[in-house]
Amino acid sequence: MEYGIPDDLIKPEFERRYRELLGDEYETFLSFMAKRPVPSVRINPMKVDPGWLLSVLRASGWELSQIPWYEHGYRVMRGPERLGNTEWHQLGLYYVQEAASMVPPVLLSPKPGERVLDLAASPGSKTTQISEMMRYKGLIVANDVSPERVDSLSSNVQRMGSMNVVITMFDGRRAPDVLGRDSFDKVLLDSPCSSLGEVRRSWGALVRWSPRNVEKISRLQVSLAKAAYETLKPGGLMVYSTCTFEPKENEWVVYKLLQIGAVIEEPEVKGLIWRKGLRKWMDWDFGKEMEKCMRIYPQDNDTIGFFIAVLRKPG
Amino acid sequence: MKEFLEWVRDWFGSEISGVELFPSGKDKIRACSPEAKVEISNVFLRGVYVAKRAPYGFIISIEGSFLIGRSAKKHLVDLSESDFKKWMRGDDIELKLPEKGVYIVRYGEAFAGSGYYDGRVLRNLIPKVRTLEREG
Repeated sequence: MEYGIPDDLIKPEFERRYRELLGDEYETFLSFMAKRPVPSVRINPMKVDPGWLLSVLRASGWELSQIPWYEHGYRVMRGPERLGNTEWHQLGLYYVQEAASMVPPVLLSPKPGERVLDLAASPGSKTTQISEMMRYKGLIVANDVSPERVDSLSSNVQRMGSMNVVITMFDGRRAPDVLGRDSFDKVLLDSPCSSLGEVRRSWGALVRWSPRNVEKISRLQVSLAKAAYETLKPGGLMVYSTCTFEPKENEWVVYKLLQIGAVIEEPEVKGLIWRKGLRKWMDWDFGKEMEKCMRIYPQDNDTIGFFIAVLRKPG
Repeated sequence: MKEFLEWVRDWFGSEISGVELFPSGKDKIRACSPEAKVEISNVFLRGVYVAKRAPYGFIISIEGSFLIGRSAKKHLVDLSESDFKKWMRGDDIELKLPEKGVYIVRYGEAFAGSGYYDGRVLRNLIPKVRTLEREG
């Protein structure tokens, strides 16, 4: 065993690649990847006065610490073992959601009354967060591709009472044909990915990881990202996010969006530590603009890993 | 929809506003924001399930109880902490209520679906999937 992760899960190419990416921080990175993250919840202010719920939870022994970047997000320092099996969870008063996963909706900054597309929405953590930020007003089209994924999305949308959500089921690459071009104020693509940022919760992503799989997922991500961008109104805002560190799934995809006219915006998130996106990786030069992308490593905020880019369609 | 809205008004003294109600299948009623009523292809589900027709009126879902309960003036029952815990495990609750019929259940500021009072117990109408799993 090394760093708590079994040796055979760290493939030689993975180690070579991430030592190059992280330099001296590689070992710290791995030590965080081996630790379970502190669980966190997002309180639903549309169903309950957060102050009331906080007082009830604290009175029953929960110890909660506010997440700086989302006003209704809390880390559960002490609480029940199964956060998904409490009265409050079943009533939809909170959602068990990793702290870093609350960042993409914060950057999307949805407003009541807007038209929003969440193209790869299952299981619905971000969809329901967006719905609450919109105070259940306006429209969110929450899509996913398979019946299994749409089922879990439907359950969570119901539980959280997200009345402004319409769930659709189709291959997201067909989004402009199905939903129309230039039709949404805001679009979130929290893309399927190699999920290396999730290793803290399950080592499965390390087992599945290979450069070939990364290439394959990257092609899907570029197609999904272009489709998502096409559905955006001129002047509209798109957030592209993944829970992985692979440049080919992150900066490369954003680079492809810049080539079709997207403009990157500088993200601002209160209390969050993040690194700039990569300007260069292997033989690619993505350009200085790519530094406006956000890389979140596990050791930065003691969360899972994320990559996020905020893009505007000129208009 | 008219029948449901009238029943909600008469039975709970509650007015539903700001949302669109629409039938779903034979017996169910769902609600969505007015903007979500838009024509879209490949729709799987729209809005949330709020009520279902029953011989004694309508079963109100947990989400329906939040929608209706906030402005309900009658047929609303406040549970004690211990009864609320039993309720969330799916148990019926023995208590005395003014008349038979459907009641919206509340604990503090949280609404917890509906029950049918048969004159002796409040029958739990929360779907099993929304009750707590029993440990062990």
